[in-house]
Amino acid sequence: MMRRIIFLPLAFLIFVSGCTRPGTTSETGAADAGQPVQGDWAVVRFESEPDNLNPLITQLGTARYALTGVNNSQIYEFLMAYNPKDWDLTEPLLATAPPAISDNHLTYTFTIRDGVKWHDGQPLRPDDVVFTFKAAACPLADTAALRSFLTDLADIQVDGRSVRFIMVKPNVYNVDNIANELAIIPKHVFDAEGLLDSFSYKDIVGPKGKSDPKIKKFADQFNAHAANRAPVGTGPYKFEKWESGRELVLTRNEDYWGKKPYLDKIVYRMITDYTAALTALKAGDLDVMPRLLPIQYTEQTGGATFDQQFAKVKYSIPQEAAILWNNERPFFKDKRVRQAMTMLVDRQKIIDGIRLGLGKIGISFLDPNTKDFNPNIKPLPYDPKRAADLLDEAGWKDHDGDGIRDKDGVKFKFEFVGSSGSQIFKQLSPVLTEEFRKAGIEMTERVIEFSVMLQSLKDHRFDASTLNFSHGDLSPADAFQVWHSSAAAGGSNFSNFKNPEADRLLEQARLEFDAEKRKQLYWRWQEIVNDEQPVTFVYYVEESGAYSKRFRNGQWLPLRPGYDLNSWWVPKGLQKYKSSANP
Amino acid sequence: MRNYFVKRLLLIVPTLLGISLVSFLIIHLTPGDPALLKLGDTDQRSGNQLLAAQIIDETRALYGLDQPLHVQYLRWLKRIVTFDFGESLRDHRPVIDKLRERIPVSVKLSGISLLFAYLISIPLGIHSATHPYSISDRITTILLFGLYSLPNFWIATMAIVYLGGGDFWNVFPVYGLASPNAANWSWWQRVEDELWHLVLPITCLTYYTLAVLSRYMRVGMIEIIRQDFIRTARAKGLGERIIVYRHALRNSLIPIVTLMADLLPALIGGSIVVETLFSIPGMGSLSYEAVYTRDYPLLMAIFTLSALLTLLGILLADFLYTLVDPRIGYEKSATA
Repeated sequence: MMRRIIFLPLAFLIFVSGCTRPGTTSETGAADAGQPVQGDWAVVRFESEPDNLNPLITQLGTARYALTGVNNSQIYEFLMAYNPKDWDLTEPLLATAPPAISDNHLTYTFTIRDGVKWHDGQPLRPDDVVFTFKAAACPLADTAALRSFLTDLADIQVDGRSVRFIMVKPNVYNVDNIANELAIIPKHVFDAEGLLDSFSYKDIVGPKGKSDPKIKKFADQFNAHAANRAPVGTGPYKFEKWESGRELVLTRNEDYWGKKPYLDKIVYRMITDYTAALTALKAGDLDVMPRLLPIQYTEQTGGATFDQQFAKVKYSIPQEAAILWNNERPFFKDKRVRQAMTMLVDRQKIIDGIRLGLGKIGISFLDPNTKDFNPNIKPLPYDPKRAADLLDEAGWKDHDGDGIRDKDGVKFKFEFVGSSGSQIFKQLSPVLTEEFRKAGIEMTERVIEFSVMLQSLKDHRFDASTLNFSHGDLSPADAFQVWHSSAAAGGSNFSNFKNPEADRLLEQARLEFDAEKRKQLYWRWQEIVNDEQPVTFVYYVEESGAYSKRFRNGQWLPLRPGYDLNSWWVPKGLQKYKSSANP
Repeated sequence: MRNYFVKRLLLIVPTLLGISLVSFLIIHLTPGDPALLKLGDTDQRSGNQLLAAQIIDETRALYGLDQPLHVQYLRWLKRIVTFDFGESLRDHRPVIDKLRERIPVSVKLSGISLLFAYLISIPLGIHSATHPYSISDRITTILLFGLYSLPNFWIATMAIVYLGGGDFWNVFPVYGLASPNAANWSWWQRVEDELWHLVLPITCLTYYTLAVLSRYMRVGMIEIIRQDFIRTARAKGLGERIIVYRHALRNSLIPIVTLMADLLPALIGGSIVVETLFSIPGMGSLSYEAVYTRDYPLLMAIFTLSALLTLLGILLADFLYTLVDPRIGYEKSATA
């Protein structure tokens, strides 16, 4: 089963963000004072417009932020959410509790919460849950991204208020795949005619799913459904309106089953340009700017006037920038060479110079806040001298005296591929070229479009490249599809990393239900990756944002997109927007 | 003459067909696969083994991409004769709806900006040409070359920083085409609000075109003014005004008319830079998005539409030639 891992061009100019969830630290700017009261709005900047508002179809972070907020609950809700203590997926939402798991780890039974109402007044039924999974699994529905999480799901059964998920094989991450990937959608809205009623989940994933005219009819309707632009959910906020290219407005759901949020409305305002957005923030048109450019964070958001009105936050997200080496290329075959390459990259200088300090030196594929992160691993130092020794040792010497190392007649000349529009690639490339040239290695750069670049990475038609690994959560579940040798053919193991022990560890970890033992497996696995250096981890990404100081309890969770508007509130005297008026 | 233009109009059909075929091939043969892109979040292609391959195949089938290219093209052609551009791969909305949403925005922006550009550049060019190397000519020349060399993303960013509120003057709004609460205002307030929003984007769109056009105008005019027939007119004792506006102007408009061929496609082309900087949902950003997400039906619609408008633009320019210069004709006798 596939985990959500996203490959991003390094700091893309028009940043399209993924659906990453837990991040790390957060700070709160405005101090709490007094009793929380209802009222006021939050006007939040959106950098790109959602593609659609169907949680099963959308591919854009912005849509997901609006639909399911920071922790699985806004317009729509998931079965489970993260608990704010250790960011494990244990907080029940539409399920009343974590699932009962059978001894063979194949059956997961969730009890669906009673008394929950859809925004149109209809009650939530267990059937809605089953319908959601059926719709997502439908081969003709445009749900490719989510379907990849359902590949191990065999069938679903309903019994009263409990819904039983039957899996094909045991996997530690089964619960995540069921409860943390699909937001539950209303059957009575999306399938008013009951087209899918006569089919079980098993039918839909079987041969019938592709051929049956009823299922086809459903899929066609579902893909273009009106509710894809006007969602009806169960969450604390209701959809109010979406003015294309301008703003998306949500209002508080007064009938919410859980704890009601304080803000009357959330307004997402589409402002595509960063400079314009910061200007709008300063001019009072925006309350929250969730992401600042490094230069904006360090240079353009300061001074007495700014500090009086706005608080700044710095938060990390589980995403790291990496330089990929194609391990099959003659020069990168030897791990000593790969270690040398990492030692030639001055990562701290890159963080300070390019990210303006927003980042930490990359160590491993796992985020340091992941429970299975191995804290004993020290990143290789920046050390050109030792790098040169390693290269010599590996047989890469300048035999013909032309200033470039060679071995067996092959010159150490390679191409560094980056995506167009990636600002950081443009800044990184000259730094690396210079550093490598000094070490007798010639690097040339080539810029191509991102989707083309991904295709060549997948086909291993590259020497070296760079991208961001953006994780779906703080679990190492996505490691398998990026590092297992089987993922080199057609998968995401772009750098062609093949190590039998590492493979075995990843396989065992997925079946190790004892958390402590699993941790040991991942620790060992990280040691191997660190020793092999199939890629160079450059830095862990840190983001920064700014928001108005009139908000109290301005919490930023270590989950994307950071701001947790469910807990924010504004004292009566400071409230800026009244519900009747427009901003 | 009418026959000529009817023939030309009819010729558009096979030309368009050819263009659409070439566009179709280019679009579909470009690396990158919309089904692959669908497997993950935007820009993600999360990998997996056999099952992912199956999902990709299913998605390709959903979009009809599993068919051979010629079948896909014929399907597209069959739809297009009924003006059905298909559904966007991104959100399954009819492509025509998306275009309907965006085209008016771009037409408004480009239309106003081109209008200004022509309105200002022609008199400016004439003035420069009739007073060559005078102080005013030199000043406009320097000024226009200055404008010509300033990239509009820089000008736009400067305008946003200095005129958009924030740390400096709060003169103009810097995003969108309407204030957030404009919906509740009176008709007149809304118009005023929109005009106010248009000032910066229009300025950024206009100044470059203006600089180019007025140079063309000046060169064309100077060339004409030095010709014998103008000297004759002067010798006849005609007033300078009549010489310039009746005899010289029409002749010197030819290069400007040639540029007009690009006018129609420019109207719906939009500008990625200005639209992105000012958060205006126009055709530029839509086209960019379509390329980026490999939204084939939308791309084809945009290509075809631009091709059609280009062809019409060329036709229009040819027609305008006959208006500004009676010597140009398209009769058989004239060419024989």
